[in-house]
Amino acid sequence: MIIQLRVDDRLIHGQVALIWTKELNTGNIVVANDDASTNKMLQMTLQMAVPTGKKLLVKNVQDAIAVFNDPRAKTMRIFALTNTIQDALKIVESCPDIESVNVANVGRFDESDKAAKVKVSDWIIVNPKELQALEALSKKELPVYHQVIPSNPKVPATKLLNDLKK
Amino acid sequence: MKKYLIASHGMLASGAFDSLKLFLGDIENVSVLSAYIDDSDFSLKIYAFMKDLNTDDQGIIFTDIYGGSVNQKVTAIISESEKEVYVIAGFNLPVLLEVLTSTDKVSKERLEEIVHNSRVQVITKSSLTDLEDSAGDEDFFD
Repeated sequence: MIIQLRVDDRLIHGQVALIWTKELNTGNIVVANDDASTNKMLQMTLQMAVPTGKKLLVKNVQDAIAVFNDPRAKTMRIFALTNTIQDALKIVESCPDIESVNVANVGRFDESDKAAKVKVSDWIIVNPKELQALEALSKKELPVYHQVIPSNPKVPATKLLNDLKK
Repeated sequence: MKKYLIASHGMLASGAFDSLKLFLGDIENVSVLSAYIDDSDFSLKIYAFMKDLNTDDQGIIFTDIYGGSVNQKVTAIISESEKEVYVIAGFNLPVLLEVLTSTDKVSKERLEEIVHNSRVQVITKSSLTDLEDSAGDEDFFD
C-alpha cells in the first residue's frame, strides 16, 4: 500500500530522502511524474537523492497507478511522490490503497502566472488548477494534510482551505 | 541519550545548526560552538558539554577540520575524560542529519558507515550517466 502520497514540487530532495524515508520506514519510493518518466537527466538527479539501500521507481502517472494497484504492492510500504496536486488527485481516484496524502511543497517551481497564484501556506502556493485539485482532494475519504517535516504538526487540507476563505 | 556538540572556526557550526532546523524542526541536545567570534576561551564550552554528559549518555562532537585548532582542543579535552565520546572531524550536513536522526546510541562501526555514505563527492556530467538506472518493476517488487 501507499503509506504516504506526498506532493512535493522538488520530488526527492534532502527532506524527503533523508528524513521522510526514515520516518516512514520505507524502502520503496515511487515517483509518479510524466516528465520524469521520459527525462533521463531528471531520472539521474532523482537517483542521486535516493539513500543507499532504498529502491526508486520512476513512472508516468498512469503506469504508477498500475504499480500501486499491483497485488504485490499490497503488503509493501510504498512512499509515493508527485509534484502536483492534480497528479495526486488522479492517483487517489484510481488507487484504493492509500493511507494518507501529504500536500507538502507546492507551486514554487511551476512557472505559472504569479498574479493568479494563491498562498495557502508558506510552502503551498497554488495556481487556479492546483487550488481546484486541492479542494477536490480535501473532500476525499482519506486524511489529506500539510506536513513539511515530521516534527511539524499535520494541518488538515480542509483547515487550510477554510482559513483562505476567512 | 545522545548529546551533540557542533564546533567550528567562526559561524559554520551555528549555520549548520540553522540548516538542520529546516530538516528536523526544533532540535534538542545540540550545543553549538562558534570559535574565535570573540576573545573568549572556547574550551570552556567543551568542558561544559563534557560535564553535562551522564553515564548513560553518548556524546558526539562534530568538528570542522581534522587537526584544526578547534579539533585539537576537543580531542585534548575528551582524552582526559572517562566518558563515552566520539568525534566526527570535517562534518558536513549529510553526516549531521544521519547521526542526529539515528535512534539510540550509535556504534563506532555505524558511525564509520554514516561517514562513508555522507562523504563529499565530485560530480561530473559523465559520472551522472554512470548512475544506476532506477529500479525496474521486477527489482522493485523483489
